[in-house]
Amino acid sequence: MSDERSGICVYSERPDVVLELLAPACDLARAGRLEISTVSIGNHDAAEPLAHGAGRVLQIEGVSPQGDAASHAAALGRAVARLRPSIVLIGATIHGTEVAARLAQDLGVGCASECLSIEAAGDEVTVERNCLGGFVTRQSFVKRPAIATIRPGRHDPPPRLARATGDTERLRLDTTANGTRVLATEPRRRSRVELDRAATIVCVGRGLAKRDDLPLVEQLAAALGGALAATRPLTDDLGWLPVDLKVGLSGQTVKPRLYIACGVSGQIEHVVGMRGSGTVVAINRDPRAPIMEHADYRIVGDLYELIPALVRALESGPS
Amino acid sequence: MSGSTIAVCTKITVDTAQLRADPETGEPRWEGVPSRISTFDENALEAAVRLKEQHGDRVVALSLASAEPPRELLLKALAMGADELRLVLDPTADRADALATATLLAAALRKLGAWRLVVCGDGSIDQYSRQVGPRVAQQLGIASLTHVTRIELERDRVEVQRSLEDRRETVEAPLPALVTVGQETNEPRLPAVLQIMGASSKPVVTWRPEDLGLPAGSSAAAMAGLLTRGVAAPPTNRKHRTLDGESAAETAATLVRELSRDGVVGAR
Repeated sequence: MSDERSGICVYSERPDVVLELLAPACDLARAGRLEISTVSIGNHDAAEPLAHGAGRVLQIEGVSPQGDAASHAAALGRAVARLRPSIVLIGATIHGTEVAARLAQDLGVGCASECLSIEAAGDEVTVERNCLGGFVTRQSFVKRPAIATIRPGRHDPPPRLARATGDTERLRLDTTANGTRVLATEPRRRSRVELDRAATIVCVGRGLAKRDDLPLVEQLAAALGGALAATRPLTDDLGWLPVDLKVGLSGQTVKPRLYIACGVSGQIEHVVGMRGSGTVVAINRDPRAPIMEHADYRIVGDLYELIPALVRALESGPS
Repeated sequence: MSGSTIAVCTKITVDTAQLRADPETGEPRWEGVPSRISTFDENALEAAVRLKEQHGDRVVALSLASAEPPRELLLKALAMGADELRLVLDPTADRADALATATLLAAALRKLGAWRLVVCGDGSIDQYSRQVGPRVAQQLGIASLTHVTRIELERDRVEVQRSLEDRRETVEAPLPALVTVGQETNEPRLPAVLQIMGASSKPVVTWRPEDLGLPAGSSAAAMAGLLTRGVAAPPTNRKHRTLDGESAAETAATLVRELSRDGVVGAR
């Protein structure tokens, strides 16, 4: 190695995401015989990361867990200066993405966000990530540490060790606030559906004329025992459905066994979130809609006729 | 650095919605793909221009490019209401990562001087790394507020509403500050003919990296920390079967039969 950096550092403000990130961290650690440290700001349970494969938990004290991304990036920077990792993995929440960007700028290094894969071989760290709205690009780091973010929900935590051997260290910091202050918070409307684990998804797009027609697609989802999802215009622009039901580049990436796209045009920003699906059905008025390229079964027609017919056919079973 | 200028960072990028993969190689076909102002950066321009309409600030748009972009794109930012455009021209800009882009934009903002707010898009349509805004703020030592849906600008502070995964937040920060916005924030205006005609008389100033007070040799390619090695579209391996029955009922029955045969509906 050209410099003395070694080891992997894992950070997320969410303790559950820290455990998820231990999965790719363990893969990297096995390949390069590296030690894994997790960094927590605030009083997270240190036993959990240690039980799932971390060799060290560094607990930062003196920094508010509710603090802004700039203060957390500064704290993480101090942890990185102490641990000297060659790879830093950060959970790609909105907060984590900002922490990663600020840390990387402070260290003068690159950062690959929302990586699909990350591999270390010799002196190279190579990642794959979605860019150009969905054409996959491979990228490599030229300087260390290599900072990469990974989306929550992409990995399951590695199995619990029979006996955890790691230890806990504390790092006390005094941070200065930069004047950012939260004045009020209000919870967002959320669905309780875990789209990324659904076996069947019925996705609705702009082909649906009005909000009052949502029960139509909900009935199809119910008949299939599946989950309802939507494209960006419906969640973000029209606000017909909660934003966590959005499939696509700025939403969820899903891999159901069956994906039925109803009135979805199939912009690449949407396709990137669903193209890992098993069987894809597209129902659309426009035979030239881009979604048709990504469909196993293409049905050209009016979803207001086809969906009720499909619900009836499902209820009577295959003939 | 407080003053009555609002700076907007805009990226000119390929229109990813127009990209198609070569069926043979899986690589994108670049020929004939038009450029555009990145979607969220149009929201950033719109946000800045609305603040200008409220408070009378001057709006300066900044852009990093490898060569002079098509004239209609330069004019679009100006026609939307920016008062001038600063173009950082670096022949290696196509190899810029977020580190190089943010370092060049921050240097350009320093040179620009008296601004009180910087507005960026949440991310670009071609990379969507969502890093450049916070990186610029880090480089300049100012507060950043990302995923902002509403901006209220006062004399020495900005108050915004942020849209986060599980909550909406009202946050304040002292000026100067940087905010990033997305499609939830506003609907970018379509400039009228008169504004498009007026745009051609607004100033476009070109800077080179060496004009920005950065060390010699500070090109995007030299500064990048992340190199792109190759691009490929994942192969689409779909059946592409069109189901076309006499009636909706017949089509539906055929689909259910096919899906049962594939083992994706009915008994597991």
